[in-house]
Amino acid sequence: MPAIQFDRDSMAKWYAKQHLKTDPGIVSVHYLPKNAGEREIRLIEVNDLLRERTDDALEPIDFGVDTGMDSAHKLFVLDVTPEQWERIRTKTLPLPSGWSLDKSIPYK
Amino acid sequence: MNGYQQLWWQQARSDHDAFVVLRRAGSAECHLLHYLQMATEKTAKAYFWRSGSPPPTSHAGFVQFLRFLGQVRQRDRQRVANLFSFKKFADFQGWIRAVLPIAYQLERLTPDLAHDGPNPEYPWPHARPRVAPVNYKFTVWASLARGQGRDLMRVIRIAVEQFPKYADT
Repeated sequence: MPAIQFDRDSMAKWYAKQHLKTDPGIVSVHYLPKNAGEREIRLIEVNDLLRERTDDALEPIDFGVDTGMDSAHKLFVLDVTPEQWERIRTKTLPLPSGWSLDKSIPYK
Repeated sequence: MNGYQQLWWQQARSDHDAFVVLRRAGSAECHLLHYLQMATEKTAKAYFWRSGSPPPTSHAGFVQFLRFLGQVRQRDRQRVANLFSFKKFADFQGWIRAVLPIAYQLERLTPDLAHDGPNPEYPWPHARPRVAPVNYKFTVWASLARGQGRDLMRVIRIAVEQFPKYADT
């Protein structure tokens, strides 16, 4: 984690690039800034090593990061299979409440 | 679910709640891992109490618990797979094989299994401590923070919350 003052968009890009570089299953990362709090980063990570699962498995995992520092923020990561991502993209599989693909930024 | 299982499950659920609070708060890795390890150990013990006899007092058990889930009776397989959010039991079995290395690492964190090395509770090595857990970056946390590890955390939550639905399986 770089010791810099918090810039949500830059930090989201940093996470996306790191995760793509270090996690062999991740084929794309989508940053969803809309509706997110100022210090909240929401990522969808499409992972082709995940097993096929039921739709109720859409559950972001949340991490507190740099608590007590200028760069303190929350990171939410929603892991999905390529098949789930396709259905999210075509709006046949709903995202968690409050999450939106509007203005999302893809990283590959 | 018998009364012994109920007690172990209650403690596992409380440990898991504490883990989630600590993860959200960005607490030190040692504390996250301590509570996650305890939640998994106690969920495993709650499951093994289904026979009505006490399981071994060792801190190990989570890996064996996952193995048991991967070998449930034929008639329970589809139900168990769906309960843990997998469409097919074969997918659940494949998933268990894939996450077992992380489960082993988690299980071996307890001081008595850590062989005087990295553990989330006490500075090590015992005779001449050089490292405090709070300052240490744990390999297993790095694994848990990646895709497969996050998926393991998701399934651990299901294992804890849905325990009564498979306690007798």
